[in-house]
Amino acid sequence: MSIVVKNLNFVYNPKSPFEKHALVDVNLTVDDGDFLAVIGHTGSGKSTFIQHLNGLIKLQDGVINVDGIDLSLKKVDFKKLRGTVGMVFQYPEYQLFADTVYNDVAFGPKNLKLSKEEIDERVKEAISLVGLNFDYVSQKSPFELSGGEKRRVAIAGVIAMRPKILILDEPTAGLDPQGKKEILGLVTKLRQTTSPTIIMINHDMNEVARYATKVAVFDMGSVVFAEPPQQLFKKQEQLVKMGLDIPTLAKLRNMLVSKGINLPDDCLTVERMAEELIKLKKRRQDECSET
Amino acid sequence: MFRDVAFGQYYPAKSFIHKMDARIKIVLSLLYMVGIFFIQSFFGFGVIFVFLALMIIASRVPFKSVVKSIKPILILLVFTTILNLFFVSSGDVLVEWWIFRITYGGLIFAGKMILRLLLLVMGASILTLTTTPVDLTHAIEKLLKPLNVIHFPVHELALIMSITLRFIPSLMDETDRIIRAQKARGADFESGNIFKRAKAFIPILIPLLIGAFKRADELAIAMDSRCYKGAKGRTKMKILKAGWRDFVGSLVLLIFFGGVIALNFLQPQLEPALPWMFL
Repeated sequence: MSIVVKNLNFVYNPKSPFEKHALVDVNLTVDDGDFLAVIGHTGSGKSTFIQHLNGLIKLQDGVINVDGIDLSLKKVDFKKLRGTVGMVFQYPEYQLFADTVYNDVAFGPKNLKLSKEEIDERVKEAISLVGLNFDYVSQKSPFELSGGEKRRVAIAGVIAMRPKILILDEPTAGLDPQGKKEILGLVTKLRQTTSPTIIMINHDMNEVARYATKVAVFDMGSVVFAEPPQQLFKKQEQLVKMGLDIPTLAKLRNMLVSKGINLPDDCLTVERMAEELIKLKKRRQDECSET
Repeated sequence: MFRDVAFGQYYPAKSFIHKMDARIKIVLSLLYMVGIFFIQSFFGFGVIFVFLALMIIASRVPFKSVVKSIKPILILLVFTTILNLFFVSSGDVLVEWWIFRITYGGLIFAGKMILRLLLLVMGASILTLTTTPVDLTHAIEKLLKPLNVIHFPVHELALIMSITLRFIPSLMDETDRIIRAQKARGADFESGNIFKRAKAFIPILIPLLIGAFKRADELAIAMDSRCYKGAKGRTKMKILKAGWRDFVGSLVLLIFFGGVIALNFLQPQLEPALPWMFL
């Protein structure tokens, strides 16, 4: 088991007029190889939750175990934790600082106190993993690059630490459709190579439906649902009540099902939906020709 | 991390002092500060403390908030005290050790200096606690207006001030975010010697500066697109107006200030009769 969170509570500014209960009894497990999508309103506790997972927020109450590292202990090995859990913040390109792309990507591995050869190898690997040409960009200033390229460099800076678990906070925010597709393609690729477990905050339900294997829904600091998208998106009414959207195709599927047209619950992408509809049509034609 | 820094420490309340004209408040605060430097005796400091307490009550700001304003100058306070203790030598020697010597005169002088600084900062904090930063810059702009005659860019200065005030919370948020992002990449700001620590701040400062320049650019474009052309022809939404409160407030401070000056002049006559007043 990769991540286990039990009875996690968190209060901002405790015992002051600004006190805010951000997390209320959060229980969640993430298995190795999961692609967990975290959804919920602004202020529902998503960001507070994910920042707990690599120790950026100090644990107040509850138990968190990340890949065998117990965060409720007094002395947590933060170096090991941050090497295990990579965190890509919203608009990660705003954290670039070094004179060259190479040095920026090498910042994380250097902090892990790796050997020079190891750092070099990891930087090369990370830059090519994010789809940039190492020879072309490595000696450039990160500020000369385009917006999409900057974001890739920033992500490379995180994956150069080779985290087993990669957390991304709205990695596609502010990108055009093409850029979104590229970043999500990159995340899929990373899941197959360096970071088998992915946790991603995302507001686009269509993206969630396409990529996630499990979805955690946050509402007012608690996890309301934590289940595969196929099951979750059947609960259209409850989600809409919470102010959340559901994927376009889930809407279509739920509508067709309510009209008596039976479709499997994994029809969440255009491809799957088309496949099932064609099957259905064929079956009906066969039935017609039989009679 | 930086959220607790008291800045633009305005305390919202409805009080006599809150309702005063910001211009008058600035002038009176300056008078108060000048007045403090006329005071030489412990008796005088005592009287001012009472006056200050009355002002705080009139402003409906909790005492705690006023006392908090001392925090940023604590280091300065300690530093001046040490300097005065060791370098002012007059009167009886109290302690002598190696090259250090503390005298009675030095002790008195240091004590008075602490009181003076405390009164200064606490008095000034009443101004910032009861006046919104916007009103404050507005008032400064008005007060400096005569300088326009010598082509001093008063309006631009006020604009710079208000933009600065506006962006400090945003920059703090941004700093917080960048620190977390670099920490997530294993950055360490807490260990190592002073040079190492100073160097550890580069990954924070550079993104912060770049972000600030970018914001400045965007703000300039936004202002341009709304036809901002500088001070010419610009009107204010809130016009500062002096009312009866300002008259009363000024009167109180002037009487007080007059009393302080009178005591200074009357010292030769009064001292033989009331020596404790001039200690």
